[in-house]
Amino acid sequence: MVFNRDNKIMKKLKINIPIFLTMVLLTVSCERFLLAPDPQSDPVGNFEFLWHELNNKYSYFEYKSLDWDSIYTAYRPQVREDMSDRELFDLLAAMLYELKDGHVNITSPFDRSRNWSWYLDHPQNFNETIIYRNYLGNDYRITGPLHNQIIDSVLYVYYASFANRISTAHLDALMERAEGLKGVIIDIRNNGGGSSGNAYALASCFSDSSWTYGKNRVKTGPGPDDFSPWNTLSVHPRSGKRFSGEVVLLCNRNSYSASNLFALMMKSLPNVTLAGDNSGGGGGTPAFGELPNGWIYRFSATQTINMQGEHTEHGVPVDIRLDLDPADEALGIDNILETALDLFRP
Amino acid sequence: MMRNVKSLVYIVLFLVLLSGQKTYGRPANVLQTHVGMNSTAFRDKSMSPLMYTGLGLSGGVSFEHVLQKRTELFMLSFDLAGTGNPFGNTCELSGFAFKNYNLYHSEGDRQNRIVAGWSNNNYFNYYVNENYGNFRERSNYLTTFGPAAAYRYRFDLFGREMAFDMLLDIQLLGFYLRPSYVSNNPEGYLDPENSGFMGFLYSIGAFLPHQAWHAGLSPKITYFFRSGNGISLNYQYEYLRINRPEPFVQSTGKWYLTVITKL
Repeated sequence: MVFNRDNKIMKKLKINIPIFLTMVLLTVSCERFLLAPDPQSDPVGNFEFLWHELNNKYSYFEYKSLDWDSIYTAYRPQVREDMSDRELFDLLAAMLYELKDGHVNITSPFDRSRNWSWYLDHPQNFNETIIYRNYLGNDYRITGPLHNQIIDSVLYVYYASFANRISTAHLDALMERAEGLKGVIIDIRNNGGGSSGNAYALASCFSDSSWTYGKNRVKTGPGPDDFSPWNTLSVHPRSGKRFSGEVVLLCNRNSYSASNLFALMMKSLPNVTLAGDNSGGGGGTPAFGELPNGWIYRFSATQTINMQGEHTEHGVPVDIRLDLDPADEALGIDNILETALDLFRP
Repeated sequence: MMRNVKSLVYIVLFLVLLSGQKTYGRPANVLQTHVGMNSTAFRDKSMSPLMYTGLGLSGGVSFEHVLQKRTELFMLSFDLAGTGNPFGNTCELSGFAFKNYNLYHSEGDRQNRIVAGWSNNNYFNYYVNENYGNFRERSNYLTTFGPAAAYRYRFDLFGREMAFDMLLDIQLLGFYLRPSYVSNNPEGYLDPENSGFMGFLYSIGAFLPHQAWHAGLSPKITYFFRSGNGISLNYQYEYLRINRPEPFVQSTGKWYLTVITKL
């Protein structure tokens, strides 16, 4: 009887052990092994990947009359397998510089490439020290990122970066302060951009009715003409307090990206005058990608035009074009701001 | 997150208590609640050439309805995973699935035999690349159908009633919705002329064997209480690949602890 009972147990073990072994084997998680390995991260591989990604997805080759193939011909021979990361980075940065686009960068752990010629090649037209010392003073209001002061019955608002979030409460407070005044001056000089959502929120304060201001489209495939249909862009007035009186928007060449978009929105309003220098451009929304070596790159993947069909990649023109006068600047006077104030003075 | 985990633990403990109750008659409906962890690897070439891998939390409920010649199985599950690539860039991934199986068998129990039928999978995932700015999100949805098979082997081990189950499915036909080439939005929605439904129609792609793959297997070992309820240890593996517009591949293995409650 003991022999028979042992036989039964052995038989069950013979059946069940394979089952348990299968379960044990399955504990070895094999998820990643069923995917192809990551591509080789060598200088040639990273160069080829970046060139081809931009070739397929960058949105402004035709508009800028850029021959990306010739850039490949010029830069590919400079890639060596024994290049250091620094050398590879400098080469890729130089290649991307050819696109002359502030929305094109590559970021490594040790550096970030950029092309800032779109504002460095033009007068600065902005002196923050003068603004804070002589116009905002020491009792200006800090309404979130909107630094504001009433000057000669005009509300002056300086917004340094669209990356700084504007809340509904901030806009309520600003519109409350603007009520009954002669006008509003919004200063976005040196505002390098940020969130288009903030641009939309601020623009929605300055009209009582919806308006269209431009169109955009996005790359939908690798071909040079692979774009989505043009999508009309519009702003709807905010539900809270608004200001529909005269507005002057101050720009310079460093008013880029979201600032450029804001300038485009405001230019379409009949009660808005743009003054200073043209905005810096950056009409394409940047998309992001990653190289086989983990470096992050970004590039313009969309196009934006105004309602007349003109691209905004190189900026939105102002209505009153003027530069900062060095003589005035030496006296602590911002003649661009003064010109804007003069529009409201009797 | 911790509050959700605590709630899940309380629910599991409650079901464990329920499972100890004696009941009478042959079970025809079974509720299974599972919680566990997952190991995920995925690559979306429209976002990055690199593989993102990581661990996370998984859970869900399933309902098994045993009829005379057919067994229906409905499964609702979720996965959350924090993934990263070898260079430290991270991506948060979440997935939700509703699957159902119809397995046909001769009258009576389907013990100790392979049964076959069909399955339907409805899966949605969403992930955000933490190192990107614009267009950092991606999501995929699919509804697919395909054959399924199951095997159950009941046995005694040291006087305890146990069972080994294996469930297999492969998805062959259906449709999917994927982001467009650069944008997060599916392509049909990029045309402002398209209404919501037309945007959907223009966005969907055909899930066909030469363009997409989805397969899963799920072995399970169960220990039964005298009441007919039970507790089991599951492993579930799923592989998904969609080739258009740019290849997306996801491979996920999950370990569950399941509480089985007969209704």
